[in-house]
Amino acid sequence: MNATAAIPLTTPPCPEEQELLTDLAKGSQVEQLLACQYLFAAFSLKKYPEEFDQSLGEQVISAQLERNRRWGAKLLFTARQEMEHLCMVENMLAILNRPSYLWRPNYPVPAESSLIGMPNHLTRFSAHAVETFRYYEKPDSMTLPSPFSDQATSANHPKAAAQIKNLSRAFAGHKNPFGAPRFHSVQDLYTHIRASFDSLFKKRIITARNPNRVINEHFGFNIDLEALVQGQGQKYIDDIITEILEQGEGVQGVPPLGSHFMAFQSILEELTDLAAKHDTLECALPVVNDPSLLGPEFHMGETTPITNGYTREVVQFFNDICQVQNRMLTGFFDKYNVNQTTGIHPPEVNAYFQTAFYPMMTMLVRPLGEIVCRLPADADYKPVPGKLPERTAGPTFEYAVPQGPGNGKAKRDCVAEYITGEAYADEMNRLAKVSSALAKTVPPGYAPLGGRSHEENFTYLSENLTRMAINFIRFWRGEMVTVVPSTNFQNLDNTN
Amino acid sequence: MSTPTPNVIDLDFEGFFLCRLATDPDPSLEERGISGFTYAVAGESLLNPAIFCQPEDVKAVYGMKSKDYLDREEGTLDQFDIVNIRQASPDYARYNAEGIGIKVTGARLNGDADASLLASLGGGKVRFASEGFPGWKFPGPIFEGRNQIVSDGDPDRFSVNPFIFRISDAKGGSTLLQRFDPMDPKHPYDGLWQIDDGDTLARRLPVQRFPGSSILLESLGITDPIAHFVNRQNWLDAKILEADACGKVALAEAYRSRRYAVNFFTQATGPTVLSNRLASRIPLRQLYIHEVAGTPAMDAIPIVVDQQAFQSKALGHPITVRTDVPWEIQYYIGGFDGDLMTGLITGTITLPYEPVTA
Repeated sequence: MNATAAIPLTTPPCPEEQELLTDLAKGSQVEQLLACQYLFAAFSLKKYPEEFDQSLGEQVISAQLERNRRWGAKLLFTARQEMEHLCMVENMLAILNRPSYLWRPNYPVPAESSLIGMPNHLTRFSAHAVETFRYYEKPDSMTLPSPFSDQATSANHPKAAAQIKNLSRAFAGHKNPFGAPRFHSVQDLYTHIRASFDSLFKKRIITARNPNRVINEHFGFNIDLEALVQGQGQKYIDDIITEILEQGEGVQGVPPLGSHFMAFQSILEELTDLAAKHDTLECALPVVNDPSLLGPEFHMGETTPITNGYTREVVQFFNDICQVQNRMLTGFFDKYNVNQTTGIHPPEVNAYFQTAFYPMMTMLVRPLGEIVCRLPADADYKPVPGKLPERTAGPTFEYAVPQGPGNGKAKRDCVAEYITGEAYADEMNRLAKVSSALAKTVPPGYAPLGGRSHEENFTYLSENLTRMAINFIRFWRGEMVTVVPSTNFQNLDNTN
Repeated sequence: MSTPTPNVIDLDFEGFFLCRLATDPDPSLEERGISGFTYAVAGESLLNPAIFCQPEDVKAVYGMKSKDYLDREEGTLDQFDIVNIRQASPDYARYNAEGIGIKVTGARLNGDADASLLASLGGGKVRFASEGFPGWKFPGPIFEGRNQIVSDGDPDRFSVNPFIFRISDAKGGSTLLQRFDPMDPKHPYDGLWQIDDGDTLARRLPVQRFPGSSILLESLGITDPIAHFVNRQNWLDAKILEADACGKVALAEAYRSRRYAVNFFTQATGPTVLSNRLASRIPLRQLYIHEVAGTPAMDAIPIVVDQQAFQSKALGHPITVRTDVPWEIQYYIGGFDGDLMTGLITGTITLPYEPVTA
């Protein structure tokens, strides 16, 4: 067992600040929940011709793969921006001198237990899924039919209705761990957070602190973060909440081009056109909804248990990687610091910075998520050459912590940073061995219908993890600043 | 006392290469291209990061386009009918006229241009090759970064790996010159992910980076990188209409995807080193200088020198290229057009030859 660190609160918050901290924790959870839902849908999109019904013909299939790619690009872009919003929430905690918050509940989160009055499910890409995403990201002033009622789902998306039972019903026997939903939308949540900050600043209950813990350097593609100017805490909060809302649903009731709402709207328009031409074209893999490895006590709603033995091992591998990544994020957000003159981070922060986002996200989570979506969900799966499994699994994003009220320590511990760099390296080396073993034990007939084999992919992941462990410990100990030395390298600005 | 002669041949080479590599934030071995700016579109093979230096090598691996994807304009190069080799908009005249293909463009003997050497070697086909490297799975060498695992991708500091330099006869294709350079001489066939010594890796990395090279832009015939991609977008708009009008549904969608990438990735994408991912790479080139130091013991990739090809009237006697000492190579790689997935290599390899005693 690896020891983990816990950052204590500096001073007990007053009730008003406590309420704000609770709302920021909700903000963190909402951003994570949405990001994982968008990732799940993106991972579930077909990307190889062989995954389609071949009777559609090469031209139809190839054309659809192009649409799938563009839809996937929009989903992944939106997920990355949710990660940026998560960073902004962590920055808000930082200026209050409070620890980061990285816990989130397992899926599904029924409406009655939801943080924003809407359920969260892991569902494969479909018109219904995209309508749901659009609904999350709509401005409050816009009236749209709710995609969450069983009635609406049954009427508009009978296939989805058959797959998602009791979409809006809370799981019987569970109390809402967060109290009754205070908010009815993402916009509502952030509007309250802005108002709380405003009030606490005015009452001089809080001041903006820790400008050096506020992250304003990019940690990934499309990330655009502001610095905290000392003495301008209120403006900083105002600016970043405006940015969160602008990128999601807009601030004047009109979602701007490039907003999440418009991204989903554009996908829905293409799906509508497509449905008129090809009513049998299935864009997504047969990924089950709300897949799970863990039992009912770990969920607030009905899940689809993954029963296939090999697939369970792969999903566990995925969850273990996500957990290490979240531990790194906790350490990164808690300890963040940078020398603004040299751009150099303290070694531990550099280890997190060089690892937690890319390559962790790009080289492990993303490819593994796509692999999982191509593996059978069911124990009784019998491979048929050239055919996809009837039901495939999907990443479960689960924490092995019972859901519901309480369990605060377990929740904190499962995302707490490790105290030592060696603990991370040990875990990455363990996972490298797991990946190597997965490469050697792919059951006959489990080959994906297109693209590289599972054996090749797991071998590649194993190599990556092995090297990442070496790199991480060198970063952590300050023996290395970048993965290759820049000694004698000149970055020139002349015309040669 | 007379000045000693250096006893070296310099061979210059230049031309466009093709490299259909996945780009950040896609994983390095992404095969379709989703979140990065490089896409394998309808009618093309899946992405593969191999560097191709000659069109016939692309044809040998991927074949010719099927009729549903043939669309090159009259009077343009035949090679645009090869799968994965894209045509550019007409404004990119140099690329459309030359296409893929790196060739020997100059020859010097002890610093002076040598017509007889050039007659023998000029137009020779230059390859950064990979055949023979044990366990290698790609049809060419690659820029291997693994998204910050083995190389620093933010300023594009990648090495070409494995490194096998080859010149073939312009007509017959026989190998005139070949030599391997091991990244780690003690373990010449190790994968890059296994080599964790920074100094060893640094030897083959770029030594200088020129993000705004006017020499490169002039050479490419591009005056404004932003306008370069505006032209491309406009051309792609026309190609979408054309394909739609011809009922080529998959080709039309392929062009839509290319246009999507060009549009999206010519917008500022955050405060990274390369905020405008497409336009910033057009004027960017990096200089590599290193030895090519494979030895006869590394027999998986033999050293080849066709001594008959190295004749100089100026010298008056046969030249014997030395293989017992390292060769030196310097080359610029840059001008990467993310839509075409092509870039320009210009360089010089320096070959010591045996001094002849009177």
